[in-house]
Amino acid sequence: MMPLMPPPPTRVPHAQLAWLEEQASRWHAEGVIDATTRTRILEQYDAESFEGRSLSALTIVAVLICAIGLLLLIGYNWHRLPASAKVAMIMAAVAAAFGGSAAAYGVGRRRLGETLAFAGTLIFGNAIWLIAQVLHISGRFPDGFLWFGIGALAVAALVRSRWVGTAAAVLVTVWVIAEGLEQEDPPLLFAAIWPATLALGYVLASPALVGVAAVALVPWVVIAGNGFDSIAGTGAMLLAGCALRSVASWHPERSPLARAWQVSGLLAQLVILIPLMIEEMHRDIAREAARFELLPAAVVAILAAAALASAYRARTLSQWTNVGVAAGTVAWILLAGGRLVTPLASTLLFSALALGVGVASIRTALGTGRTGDLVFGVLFTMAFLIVRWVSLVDDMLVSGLLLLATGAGLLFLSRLWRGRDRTRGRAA
Amino acid sequence: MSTWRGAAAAGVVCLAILTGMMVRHAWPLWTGTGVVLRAVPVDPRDLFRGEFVRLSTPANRLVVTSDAAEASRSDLLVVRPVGEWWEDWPGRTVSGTVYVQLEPDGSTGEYRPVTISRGRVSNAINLRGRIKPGDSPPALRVDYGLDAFYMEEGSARPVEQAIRDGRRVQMDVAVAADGRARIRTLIIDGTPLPRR
Repeated sequence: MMPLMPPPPTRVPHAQLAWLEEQASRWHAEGVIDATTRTRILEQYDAESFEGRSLSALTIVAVLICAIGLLLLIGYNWHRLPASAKVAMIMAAVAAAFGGSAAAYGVGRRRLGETLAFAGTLIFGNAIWLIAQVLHISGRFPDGFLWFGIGALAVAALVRSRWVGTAAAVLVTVWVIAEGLEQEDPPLLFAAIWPATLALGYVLASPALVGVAAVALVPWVVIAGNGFDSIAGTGAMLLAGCALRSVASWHPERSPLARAWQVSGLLAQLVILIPLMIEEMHRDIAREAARFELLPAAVVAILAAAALASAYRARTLSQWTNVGVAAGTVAWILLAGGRLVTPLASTLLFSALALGVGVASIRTALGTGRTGDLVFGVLFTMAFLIVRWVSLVDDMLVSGLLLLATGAGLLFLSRLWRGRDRTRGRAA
Repeated sequence: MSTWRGAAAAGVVCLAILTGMMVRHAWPLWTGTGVVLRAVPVDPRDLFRGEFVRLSTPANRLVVTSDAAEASRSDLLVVRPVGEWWEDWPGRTVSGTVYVQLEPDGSTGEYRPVTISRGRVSNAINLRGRIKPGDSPPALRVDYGLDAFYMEEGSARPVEQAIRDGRRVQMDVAVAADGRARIRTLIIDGTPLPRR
């Protein structure tokens, strides 16, 4: 029977190997590991050779210089080239990137394969605009992002790349925003593309992809709700934030995917609550004629149902606060639609909701130890204080007292956070 | 699917999208019915798209009405709505796709819009456009994608000058069966410019 060959040592930088040798010696001296184990650990690693690294660096520089030179030569002759030659070059660049990616995957170099697939996706996106320019195609600009996004989604699914998938989710979000700038009707294709993007996020188990894709819902509901300055549009955006957070409660508590939904929902709530704490915004909304329309009403109803359904699984203060924000928003939509609420009352309601989310997040952070909760808690509280302070900026006495109270609150919070670490340290 | 096959398939998908984009652009030129529309110059240059002549056509701004009295008061081209869709629009924001039906004018040979509909009308030349914001009913601003004619570097200036001199400018347009249209060439005083 042939003896098994040991795997070749992993090459690491000199500094990293020196650190490992120092640590291994310390562990040996402290009796954590014996001499044999120390030797076996160190045999797994070897320093990268200086010659090899220099050669790699030189090769990369040479390839880069050649690539820049080639691009400059093409650029210099670009206007002299016939359109068909330009299109052929653009298509060849896309084919070369994906061909290189397939070749790299074929020889087992997954990272290089993924990098080339990512580069190919970017070249493909550039090709859409470049071909449109070369052939004078005057299409709708949101369609460019739509096809770029569809292509990127296909690439991500086929090469199973989280990086390309996250880029695709960004493109889907940009497409929805571009549609909102171009037309007043929400793009119905979103109903197919959004679930597909989210499904890809779950298949690839990518929190970044799911989080970015979740954000794409927000501009869509604003368009469907008749815009940012309408009761349905504003309410739908806040309810979308609540609904995204409520999706988190249907995941296991510490799941990274739950965190992605939570962060997206909090971001949406933060962005919309800041203007809703300003009385002028409510005066503008009140000036708009309130009328019943089926699509905005349906969007608001679905989002409200999704947000309020999380009450069924709410355990923490933060989750209950989210249910409270959803209930408060639904009440506001109904009252504002019936002209039964003044701009001042609306301002106070949303100020209270912002403060409530901030305090609940900080309280949750102190319990769970998650820095993200603390960051959002501070952001919501600071947003509340800054907006309220700006409205009082002429009154030096109240402004001064408010800022003193804020500073004292933050000091108290940092003391609580430090105390929490000490308690945990003792418990450990 | 192994990942190398996945990467190859991804490349095929991207190339197919790009090819589809080019075919969709060229389809009206390959298959479309030729019509001549009156052209009005707008602005001679766009820094991002090279040299071209920006154009408009009287069909870009329409008044939609079946009322003969209202039609006679309008300075814009008047078209009749086909179907009942227009009855719902006054007082509301209008958007989306429309089809303008063209008929030839016996005296000039130019085609002019006569009716407008939400869907294509059978046995008619349907010019597909998107309603642009800016006008309110009964006036409509429609974009047909016929707003620019691209030319070789340095050759747009003489055309622009001819337009400024008040010579008659028309567009030779190919309209596909689905209503999408592309400019084949410009016609100045009855003489077509050489095709690109």
